[in-house]
Amino acid sequence: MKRGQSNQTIVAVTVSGRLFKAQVLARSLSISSKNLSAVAIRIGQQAAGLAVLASFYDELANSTIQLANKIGELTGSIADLAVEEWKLALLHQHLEKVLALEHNENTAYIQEKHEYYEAERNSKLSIFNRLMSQLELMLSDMRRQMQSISVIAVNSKIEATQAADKKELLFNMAEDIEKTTDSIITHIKASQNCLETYYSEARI
Amino acid sequence: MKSHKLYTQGSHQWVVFGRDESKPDKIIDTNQYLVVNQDKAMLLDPGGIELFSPMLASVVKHVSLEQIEHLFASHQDPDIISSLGLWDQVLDHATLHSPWVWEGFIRHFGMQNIQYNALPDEGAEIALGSLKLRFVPAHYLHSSGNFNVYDPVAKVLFSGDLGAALEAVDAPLFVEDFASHADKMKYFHQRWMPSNKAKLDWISRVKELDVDFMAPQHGRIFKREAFLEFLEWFEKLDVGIAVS
Repeated sequence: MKRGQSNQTIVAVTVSGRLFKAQVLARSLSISSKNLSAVAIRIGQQAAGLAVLASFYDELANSTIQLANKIGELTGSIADLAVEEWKLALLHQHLEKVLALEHNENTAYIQEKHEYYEAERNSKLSIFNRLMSQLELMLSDMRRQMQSISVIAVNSKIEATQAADKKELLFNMAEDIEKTTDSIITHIKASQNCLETYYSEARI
Repeated sequence: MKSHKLYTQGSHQWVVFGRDESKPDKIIDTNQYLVVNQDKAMLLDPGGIELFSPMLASVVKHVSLEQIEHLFASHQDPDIISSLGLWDQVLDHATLHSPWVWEGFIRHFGMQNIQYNALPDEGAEIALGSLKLRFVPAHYLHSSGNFNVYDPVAKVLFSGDLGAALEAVDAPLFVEDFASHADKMKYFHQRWMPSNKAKLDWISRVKELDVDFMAPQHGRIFKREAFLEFLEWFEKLDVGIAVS
C-alpha cells in the first residue's frame, strides 16, 4: 500500500479504536450519572442541585454515545474508501508504467483506461476529503460536549461539599465522573492529533 | 521483459514472456504464456502483481486487450495469479479458468469483472478461435488442485511447475543439455512436489500426448527429446522429501 493510502486507513482505524474506548467510557459515565442522580434524590433538598447536574451528565453522555456510534460508521466508510482508492492508485501507477514502456495502436485502450481510473480516483479522493471534514466536525462536537461535562463536574464537587449527609460519597462520585470525562477527552484529543498529523504529512 | 514466439502458424501463436531484468531481485523469475488463435487470446499463468506493468506492456506488442478473452491459472500461488486484481480492471470481458478448489481463494486477489470458470478435477476443453485447448489434470504437482494446458495443434504442453527450475534472469530459454539441467530442477521437484503416486499418474497420461514443447512456468522450455528425458528422469525421482 502506498504511504498516502496506508496513512488514510491508519487514521480511520486509529480514530475508530479511540472512539470505541471513549464510547465504553461514555456508557459508564451514563451509569455513574444515574447513580449520582439516585443518591442525590434520596438525600433530598440538600443535594437538589446535584440531582439537576446529574441529569445533564446523563443527557450529554447519551449524546456522546450516539455521536461515537456515528463516528464509528464514518471511520468505517473512510477506511473502505482508502482501500478502494489505494487499489485505483496502484492500477494507475501500473498503467503509467505500461504507457512509459510501450506505445503502439494497442496502447490507446490502455490510455483510455488510465484516464477513466484517474477520474474515478479523483472522485473517491473528493468523497474521502468530505468524510474527513465531517469527522473533524464530529470530533470537535464531541470534545465540546465533554468539556461541558468537565465544567459541570467541577460544580458538582462544590455542590457535594455543601450537602450535610453523604458529603464524601457525593464528592467521590462527582470526582469519578470528572476522571471518566477527562479520559474521554484524552481519547478525543488523541483522535484529533491523529488527524492533524495525517494532514501535516499529507501536505509534505 | 523479453518475449519470444515459440510457435507461429498463420493466426495461431504461442508467445513466452519472461527473463524480466526489471523485476525486484528477491522474487523468482517466471514464464508467462500467450496463446493466440484467430482473433482470440488467452494468457496462461499471467504472473504476480509485481510484474503486471512489464507484462502488460509486452502483451500489447502482440495483441490488443480486447482480444484477451481468457486467462488461465494453473493453481493459486501468488507468482501465478496475484496480478488478477489489476487484470480485472483492464479486461472487460474475460474468463479465468482455474481449478474449482481454488475459486474462493483466488477471488481474494480481486475479481469484479472477470468470470471464474471452475475447472472440474477430471479436466476440460475450451475453444480459442478454431483451436481446442485441453486442461490436463496435474493435481498435487505441486498444488492440490492443478492443471496443465495442452495444445494438440502446436503440440505444446504448458506444464506449470512441472519441469521448473529456479534460475537467473539471463538463463537460456531452452534446455540444451538435459543432464546438466537436471541438477537445477532436482531439489525443486523433490521439495515442492508432494506425491510419487500423483507423479506416476501424470507421467502415464502425458506420455500419450504428442509434445514438441513442454513449457514450464519457471526456467527453460523442453523440446521433444528433452521432454522425453524429463519424463524418464522424473519417474525415477523420489519426491515429497520433507517428510521421511
